[in-house]
Amino acid sequence: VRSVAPPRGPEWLLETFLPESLRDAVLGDLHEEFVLHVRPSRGPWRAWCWYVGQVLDSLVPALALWVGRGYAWRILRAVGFGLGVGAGSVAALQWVGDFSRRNVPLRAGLTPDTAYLLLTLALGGLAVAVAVGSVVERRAAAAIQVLLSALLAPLAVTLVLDVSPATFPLWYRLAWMLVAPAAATLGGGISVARRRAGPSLSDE
Amino acid sequence: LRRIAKIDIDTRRDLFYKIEHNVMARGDELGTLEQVVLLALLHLEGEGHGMKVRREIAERTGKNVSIGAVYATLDRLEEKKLLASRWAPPTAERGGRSRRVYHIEPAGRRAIERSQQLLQKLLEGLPALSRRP
Repeated sequence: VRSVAPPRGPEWLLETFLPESLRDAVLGDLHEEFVLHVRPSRGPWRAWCWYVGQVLDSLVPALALWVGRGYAWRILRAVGFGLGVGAGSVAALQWVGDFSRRNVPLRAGLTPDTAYLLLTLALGGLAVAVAVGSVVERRAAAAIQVLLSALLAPLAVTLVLDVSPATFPLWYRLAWMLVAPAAATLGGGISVARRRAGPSLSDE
Repeated sequence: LRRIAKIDIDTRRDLFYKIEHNVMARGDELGTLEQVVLLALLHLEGEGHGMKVRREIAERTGKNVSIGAVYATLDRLEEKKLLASRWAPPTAERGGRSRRVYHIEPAGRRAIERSQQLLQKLLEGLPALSRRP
C-alpha cells in the first residue's frame, strides 16, 4: 500500500491550506481516487502528474474558502504585523547604524554593515515566523515557527551583544535584547491561544 | 405602502416578483458551479461525496473541475442550507480519512428549480438560443 500512496509533498501542501473542516474529505477522496482508479489505469508517472494537477487546481479554491469565511482580516493582520516588525526593525537599525558610525567604536572582525545585515535578517525571519504562525493552522507550521525563533532569537541577541557591548548605551542593548524574544514569544502565544481555542474553521 | 405607491408600475411589478419568488435576495442566487454541482447531486439521486460529484460532472459535461473547487462549492451550498452532510467512517483506501457525504435538502431542490425557471424566462424570446428551430 505504501508504494502506491499519493505523493507526500503535494498532499502536505494541500493539507496546509485546506480548512480543517474539509481536510479529511478532500484528501481522502484524492487518496482513494489515486490508489483505486488513477494509478492502476494511468501508471505511476501520469498518476503523479494527475495528483499534482489536482492539488495545484485546488489551492485557489482552498484559499478562497479562508477569505470567504472571514479570514481575510486575519491574513491582513499577519501580513501587517510581519511588515510592521520588519520595517520597524530596518528603520531602527538604520537609526542605530548612523548613531554608531558617528559615536561608537566597534569590535575587530565585525563591521557595522555585517552586523546590521545579520540583525535585520534575524528579526525579519522572526517576523515571518510570527506571520506564518498567525495564519496557518498546522502543527508543522508551529514547529517551523518554534525552530525559526529558536535559531534566530539567540542570533539576534548575540549580535546585539557583540556589537561593542561595552560602549553601546545600556537602553539600546536592552531594547534589542528584548525585541527578538518578544516577537518569538508573541508568535508562540498566538499559536498556543489558537490551539486552545480549538479549530475555528470547523463547522462540526 | 406610500413609498411603494410612489414607485412606477414596472419597478413595482419587478419588486413584487422578486419578493414572491424570493430569487434575488442577497446571497440567494446560485452561481454557475453551484447549479452544476446541485444538478450533479440530483443525478446521483440526491446524495454523494465530492469525488463522485466531480466524476458525474466530468461524465455528463466533459469538463474537469478540480476536487478543491467541488468541495468549496459543496461547502458554500451547505452554508446556504441547500445541502447537508454527514461523515462516513474512515477506510484504508482513503488513507484512514473520513468521507463527507452530502445530500440535497428540499431548499436545494427549490433553489435549482428557481434558477432553471429564471433561465427559462430569460431564454424565452431568444429564438436563436431556444430549442425551437
